Amino acid sequence: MVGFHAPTPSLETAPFWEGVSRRELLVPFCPNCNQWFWPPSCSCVTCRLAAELRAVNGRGKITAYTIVHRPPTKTSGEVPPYILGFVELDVGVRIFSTLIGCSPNPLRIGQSVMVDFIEVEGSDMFLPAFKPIET
Amino acid sequence: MKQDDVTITGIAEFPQGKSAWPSTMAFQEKLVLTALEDAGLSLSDVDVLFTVEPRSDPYLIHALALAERLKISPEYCWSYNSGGCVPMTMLDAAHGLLQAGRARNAVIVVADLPLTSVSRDKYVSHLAHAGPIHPEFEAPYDPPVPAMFALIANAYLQRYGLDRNALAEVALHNRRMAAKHPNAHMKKPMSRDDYLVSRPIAEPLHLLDCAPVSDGGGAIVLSRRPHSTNSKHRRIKLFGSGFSMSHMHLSSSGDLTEFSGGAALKRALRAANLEINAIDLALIYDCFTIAMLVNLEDMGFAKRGAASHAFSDGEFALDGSVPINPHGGLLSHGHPARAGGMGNLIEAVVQLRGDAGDRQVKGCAFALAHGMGGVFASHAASILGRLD
Repeated sequence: MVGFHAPTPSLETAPFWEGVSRRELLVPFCPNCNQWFWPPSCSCVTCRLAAELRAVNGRGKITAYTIVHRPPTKTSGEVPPYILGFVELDVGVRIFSTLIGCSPNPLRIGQSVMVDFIEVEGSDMFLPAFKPIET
Repeated sequence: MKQDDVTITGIAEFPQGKSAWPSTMAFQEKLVLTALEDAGLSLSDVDVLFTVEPRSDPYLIHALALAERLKISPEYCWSYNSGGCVPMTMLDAAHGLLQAGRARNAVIVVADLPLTSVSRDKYVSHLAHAGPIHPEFEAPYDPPVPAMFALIANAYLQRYGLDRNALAEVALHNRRMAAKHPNAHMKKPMSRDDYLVSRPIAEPLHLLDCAPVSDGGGAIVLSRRPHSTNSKHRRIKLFGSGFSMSHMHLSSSGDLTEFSGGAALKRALRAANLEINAIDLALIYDCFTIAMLVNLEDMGFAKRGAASHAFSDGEFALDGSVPINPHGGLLSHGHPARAGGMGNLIEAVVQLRGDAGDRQVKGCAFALAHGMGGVFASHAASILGRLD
């Protein structure tokens, strides 16, 4: 999508982005605390022991959204409005992403969504995105 | 030493908006000299100089560059960073040094020239990429800063069954107030129609929900007696400060419509040994309309979901139960980049001195100046009051 950038993974986060490139959404999980958290890091936010990345079903619900008309990064030509929002995954973590395929479905908080993956133009990286699904 | 030994003795503020200053240093030099003159002091009296690094003049240790420019060598010469909490952070830190008897006169300079020194587009882009947005998990989606506040507005309006007319109350209130302030950036009258038809930036926020990019800021002098005897003003004292934080990135915050402004205010009230109803005037950090509504509710000045109704009922007008932002807030007085929130502190002092002219809050004995860092990430509350 126009205007989106490729992330710059660190050694700590590279496994997450490798998952994205395999079209897998991985979420950090602590087996010691039996807890999911966000964003990806190698240590548990609670007990500080090693966390692992686990694949999730990619389903969640929209908790807030915005239609962006004025991107911060100037590109040549007009950028059509794009939708950004928070999705609360079924495992209980809130992630920031873009919402796609929402038209003509009316957007609403609480709408069920499913992960998809979009290619960043001019790079070989992908980003997670979410699209509405029937429930 | 007596409790009232440290007071605010000088202030300086010039018109906010597009400025004609040749450089940020020249602007800050004039602010320091003006604030010292207001306090009846001179440069040689300064032993504390605190600054925030302006976006328009990036130094690793900006305070040293300003001291060098002023040809002074203050013992405590430090720059601070706590986002929109920084004016209150610096005031509290300077007050602590003076109260402890370690220094006599402190100057805090919170001023920036984002309009003059960088293009608006470059500034907006810079904010998005060095601001409160996660560089790896949020920034790739290219959210402008207004989008993060728009998410809160979306959740808030939905939760309480409100529409953009609720946000309009804040924009209209601030613009009406700014009309009476000689230094305000945005004074052109705004109608509800003007508000509603302004172009969308990140829905539900439109242009008139966003604070302008302004050149501006100010300086404040704090003095420990007997070194403050030349000040011709009422003595204003910092009665208590309170701070709080809950997150850096919104993804990691708790509820999307309730944050920690209330905790900061509670701590400040405890330090001042006051109840909330002692506050005669509240200067609330409102970089976006939604920030005002949520912050007022978090701090207990309005019931949940009811802050916009309190505006339309006149509770926050000059003659209301708690006057809010008689200077016009960040939304209309101005938002000078890293110096956002300094206008709140300056207005608190002006009002407590009784120097606010036709926007004067009658009988103003205690004022709250609130600051906010990031997207509701951190909060600062300074409770100022007059001694005379």
